[in-house]
Amino acid sequence: MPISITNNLPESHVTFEHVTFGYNEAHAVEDVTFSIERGNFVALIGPNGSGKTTLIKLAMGLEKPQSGRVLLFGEDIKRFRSWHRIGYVPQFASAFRVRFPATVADIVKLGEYKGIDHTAIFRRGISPAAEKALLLVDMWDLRHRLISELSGGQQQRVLIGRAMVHQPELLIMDEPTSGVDQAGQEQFYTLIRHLRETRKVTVILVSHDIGVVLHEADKIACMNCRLQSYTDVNELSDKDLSALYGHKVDMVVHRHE
Amino acid sequence: MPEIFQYSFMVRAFIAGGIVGLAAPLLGTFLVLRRLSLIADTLAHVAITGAAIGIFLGHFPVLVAIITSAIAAVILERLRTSRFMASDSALALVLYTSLSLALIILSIGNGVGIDLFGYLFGSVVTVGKGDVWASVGLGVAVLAIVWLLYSELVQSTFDPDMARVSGVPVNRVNIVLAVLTGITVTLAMRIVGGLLVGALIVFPVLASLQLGRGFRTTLLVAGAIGMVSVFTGLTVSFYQDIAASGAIVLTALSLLAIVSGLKALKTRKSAPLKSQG
Repeated sequence: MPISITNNLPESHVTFEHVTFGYNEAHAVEDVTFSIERGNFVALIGPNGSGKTTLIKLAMGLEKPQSGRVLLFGEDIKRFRSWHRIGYVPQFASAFRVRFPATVADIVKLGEYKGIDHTAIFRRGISPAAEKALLLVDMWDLRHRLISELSGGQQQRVLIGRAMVHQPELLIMDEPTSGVDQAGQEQFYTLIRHLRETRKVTVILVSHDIGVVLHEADKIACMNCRLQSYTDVNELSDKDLSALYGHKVDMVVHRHE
Repeated sequence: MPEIFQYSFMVRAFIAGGIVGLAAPLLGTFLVLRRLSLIADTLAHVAITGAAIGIFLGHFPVLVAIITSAIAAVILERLRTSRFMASDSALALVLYTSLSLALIILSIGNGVGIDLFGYLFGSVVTVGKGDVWASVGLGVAVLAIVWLLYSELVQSTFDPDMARVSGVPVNRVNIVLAVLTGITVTLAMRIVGGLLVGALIVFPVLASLQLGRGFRTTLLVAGAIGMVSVFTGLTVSFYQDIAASGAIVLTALSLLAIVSGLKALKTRKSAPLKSQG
């Protein structure tokens, strides 16, 4: 089969091509086209119900587009099987609503999944990869604690550890710092900076906190069912944001320089 | 040999009940943590309807119950994952549909009600060789599936979306869990009755979760509590001449109360009350 020559650059990690999706009659995501390149840190922003979470679900194949298509690492999501290349951190795991009986180490080890394995039930101990991930998210000392006993910020770090254990090239996160205190937030972005510097991880982050993402991300996608704008963070204007949120927004960017 | 084992029906009840008592909480651990405790109750009602159909047709009520319950499990799972309706609405829909079918069968079939009584409340004396063999088969299947799909079951219980992004075939795993639950519920119904089956799936798990241990330990302890409850309940019912199903479920409840009490004592000891004022 000849390789189709499209205008996707080979280093594109996620590509949306005219993607439309809706739960009922109304479209949650409408005709979205853009691509996220290797090493980018893209923040998805927009008001509530603007389709941000739906868009990342489409990116991971958790929802199927009604029209258009999604490519992951250049491959159509329908045929995509290289799940180890992706790490996903949801806002919270459904297990956090119950007293899930697992330790921090158990959860991080879940990230090592490689298919049906009859020895999984007998496996004890912590692999070097899991140890590294636990150290990375600074949860090594708490590795034997039950996750239900942790704070929101700590649980979030465990989920990131779980996502990082197989060293993904693409990390997709849905509002990872909501409900996390200031110190926890600071720690989170320090970790993301570290991951980007050391591992060149591509990051897609859904966020409500425009102030923070403006000086952490390098690209901003403004969603309001449609993609309103997709620009470098420096090029984003007050006008873009005001149009997105329907009222005047002043950008106050505190840069660290 | 103790008197209780001189009756072959009690020996059969101990074998079938022990296996079901182990299998029910093993599956129950995954169901409770998915907040699907009531799925057992719904499938039990379907199984009662299945048994009613079997009695009405005059053939293999247990087998018909197993088949209907397994089919209902698949339908439930499909309804649950579709956006058609919420999870608990799907449970209600299947439960009441099957119950109304059962009532209609009761009204047109003479004498179905008398035989169905045993399926509603459990009937240790009618547990036959077929039940024993079916339970052995089920026990082996549940242990094998939990062993082989352990990681998949844990992953999809922890968070289905995260599991999918890790490459876990979540939908297929869920169907397997639902069908096994349907079969377990039907066989457990013979011992504890359709109305109390849910308790055997849920109570031992609640007790085990109180221990605050890891997943594997929780799973094994829940299974052990289920088995102990069945053995104790059967023994008490035999010597005191009371309903086995009630005795089994109340034993499980007592174990839950004891574990919770011990836990409360322990936390009080380790964290002394702050001085007031």
